[in-house]
Amino acid sequence: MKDKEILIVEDNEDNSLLAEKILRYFGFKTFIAPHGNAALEYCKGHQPDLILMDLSLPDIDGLEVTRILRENPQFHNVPIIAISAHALSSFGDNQEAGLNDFITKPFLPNDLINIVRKHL
Amino acid sequence: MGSHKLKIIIETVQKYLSEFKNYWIALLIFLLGILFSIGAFRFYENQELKQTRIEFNRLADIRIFLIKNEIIGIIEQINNIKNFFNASSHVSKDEFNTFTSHTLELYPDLIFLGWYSFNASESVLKDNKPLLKFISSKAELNNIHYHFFSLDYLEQSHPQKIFYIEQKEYLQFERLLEIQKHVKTAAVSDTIEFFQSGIKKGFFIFDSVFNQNSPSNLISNNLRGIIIGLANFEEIVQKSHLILQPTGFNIDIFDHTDSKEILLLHHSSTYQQTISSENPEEVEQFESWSQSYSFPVGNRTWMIKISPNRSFFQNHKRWTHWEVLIIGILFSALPASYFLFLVNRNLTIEQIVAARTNELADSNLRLENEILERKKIEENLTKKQRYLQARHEALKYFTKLTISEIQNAVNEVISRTATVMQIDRASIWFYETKENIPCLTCAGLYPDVKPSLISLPVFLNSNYPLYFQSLNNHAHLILPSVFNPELTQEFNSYLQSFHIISKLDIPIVFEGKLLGVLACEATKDDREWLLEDIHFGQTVADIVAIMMEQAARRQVERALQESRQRLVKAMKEAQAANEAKTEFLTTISHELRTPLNAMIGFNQILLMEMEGPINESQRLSLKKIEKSSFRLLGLINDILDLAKIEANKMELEIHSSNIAEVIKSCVEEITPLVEQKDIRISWGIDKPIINLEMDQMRIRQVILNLLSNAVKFTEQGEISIQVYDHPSTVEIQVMDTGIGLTEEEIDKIFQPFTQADNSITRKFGGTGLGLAISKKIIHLHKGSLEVKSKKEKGSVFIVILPKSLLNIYD
Repeated sequence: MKDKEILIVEDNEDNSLLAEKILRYFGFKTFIAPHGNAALEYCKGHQPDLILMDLSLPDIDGLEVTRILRENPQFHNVPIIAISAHALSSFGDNQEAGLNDFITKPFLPNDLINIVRKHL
Repeated sequence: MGSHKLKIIIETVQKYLSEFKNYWIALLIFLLGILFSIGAFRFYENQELKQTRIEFNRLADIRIFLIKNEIIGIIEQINNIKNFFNASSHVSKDEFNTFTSHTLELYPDLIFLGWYSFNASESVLKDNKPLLKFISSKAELNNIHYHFFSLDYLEQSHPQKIFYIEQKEYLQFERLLEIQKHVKTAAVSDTIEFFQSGIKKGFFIFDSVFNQNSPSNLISNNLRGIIIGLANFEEIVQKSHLILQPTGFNIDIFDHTDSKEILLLHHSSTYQQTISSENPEEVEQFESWSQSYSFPVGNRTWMIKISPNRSFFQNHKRWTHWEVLIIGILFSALPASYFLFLVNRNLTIEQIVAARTNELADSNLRLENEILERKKIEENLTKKQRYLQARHEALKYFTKLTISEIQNAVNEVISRTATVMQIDRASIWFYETKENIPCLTCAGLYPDVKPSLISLPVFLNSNYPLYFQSLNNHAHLILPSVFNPELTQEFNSYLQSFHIISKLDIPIVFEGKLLGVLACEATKDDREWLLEDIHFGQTVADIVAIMMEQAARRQVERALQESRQRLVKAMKEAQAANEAKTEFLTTISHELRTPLNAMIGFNQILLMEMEGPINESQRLSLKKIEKSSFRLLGLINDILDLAKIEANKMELEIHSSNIAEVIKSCVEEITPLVEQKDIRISWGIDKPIINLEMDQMRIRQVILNLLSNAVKFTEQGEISIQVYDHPSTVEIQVMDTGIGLTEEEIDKIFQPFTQADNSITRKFGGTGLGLAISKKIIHLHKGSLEVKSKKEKGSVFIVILPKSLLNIYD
């Protein structure tokens, strides 16, 4: 699990920092993209091993970003986990967009680590 | 019957007589033809007769000739014998026999030839002399010979056929013999009867032979002998029978030497068959045809006469004249009939033409009459038609009226109606109930009166009860009414004040409901209301009824439309509000959770000593923060849940899964809390697997809520959760031995923010949202959530869920 890079797409500073802290504590590399475009920009040059996508982003919607990323064959198999304020109903739609799983906030650090480990 | 037939006959005859003039030519032709035919017939008859006669003459001549020859021949033969005797001085019997047998053969009609000699030399011995027997037939039978005459020589033509001469002829024989002794020439006798297989008739022939040397006339001394012969008349005649045409002749041989006395020697008739005796005319005719011939026979002169008899004519029947007649008739009939046919045809044609002409004349007349009649009817019709047309147009116009305003329509209708029906006044009244009194309000009046009656309730039920009664019966009203004088009475003042002479009122009815009345009035003259008027009026009333209904309906429609619009507006607003709510919830949810996430997260980081170690008091403080933040999270969740439910925004993810697992995991989760208190928890289920369609997460939420409540409100005792399997539902009972609830409290607990009593919050905590949410969730599953409780004893919360939500969420 070492040296796995996780891209955190989250606009709220506190939350992104929180996630980073937890992940780094457990040995992951992280990069924070504060909005969708930043994430896309980052993905042009980098290949993260997992992406944590906050669905409510200021510019492009998290689902949209996911879709765009999935269009890229390089990102077909990268696990993308959504962070959502509520339990995603009709998860099927989201799955169609390309999300592999979701986690609701607020989450416990253990919850985060478990789900990350699950998809790596 | 008979007279009837007679009548017919007379008629027919008359008919034909009347047409006789047409047929006379045909008749003439026919008659001429007949005459001609008859003439031809007669002519031919004559010709035939002549022919027959000629034929007869021919045949008769032949016969005469033959008979004559025969007779002459016989005489000659005897003469020949005489010559023979003269030539021979002596003739023996044998010589005689030889000579005569030849003759007898030639002439079978010679019965015998004999020699009576006067010389002794030419005679036979006495005893051997043949004898001529003269007997009567009777004598023969008795075997008595009477007279005999012996001859010297006798040769018979038929030796087997013995002959006898009638006895009565003996005298004549002797006489003749005596005479012959002195005569040189042959002599014949009269008719002699002899018998040879029946009585026959013949004649003797005597011829004397004298000695040669007789110089003087004294003959008697020189007589040598006499040749005697007997001939058969019948056979002579028979010989003359022709092979063809043997019959039909009457042959008579007469001796007419003595002119004074004609002697019939022989008569024979040849008939084809026995026929009735001939009548005198026939006999005369036959006589006229007779052919006769006289010739000397020996010393006599005989005459042969042949005349025809009926048989002859029968044999010589000719038919030509009949043929001619028939043909003649036919031929004369042909042109006659043809002419008849032509005449008939002409007649028939004439008749037909006459008939046709008559027919034509008749039909012509009829046509003229018809035309006249038709013109009259047409005139009538046009009048009626115009009237009907006017009505029809009026009705069409009415139906086409687009009534934006009922008042205009009413005015149009009554004005038109008045015109078309040719009445003085027309009005429409609406039936209303004002202050429970039925009355009629004038909606339109044409022509109007001053002051205007319109919209004034003039007729009240109380004033005109009979009238209203009949209106309610939907009956047509005719005033003045002879059938209902009370009604007329009721209206008297009204009729008078408005100078109404005749009135026709038709109730306006729609689907059995009385809407009003159409009143037609005549004010000038008496008006008899015809069926057409009533029909027209009725139609107008119906149309008005429909118009009124339509107007009413339109009002309703308008109201509906308005309310619909309002509704749509409200819905839109609600929708907008709803959307706003959703957005709000989403935002709120996000906004609330985000900082909370940071709070809980960072708290956890510190607690997990990710930022470095912490001491116990720090840990305690952090724990307090954790507890509070979790509480806050719970509260936020509950509020959001409730808000969602209230906004009907909670969506369920329905999948079929085993309820047992849900129960099990809930129990496991609640177990730590249970262990903290002095209570036991147990759970049971009917079957290990009971599948039902549910939102697993939400049901879990509900079970957890119930269990946590049970734990919260039970100090000691036990909590149990039982699952019962029913055919189409699942029952979950959560039982506790807690503080229990009163009935009043039961009512309250499911309401949000309401706990059993206000002290609970202080003592037990909680938001009071859980049960409200649970109940809502269960209801969304089309199930039920009930509670049974006894204060201080415990409570049972019963959840019933349907196993299948298929048909519910359709």
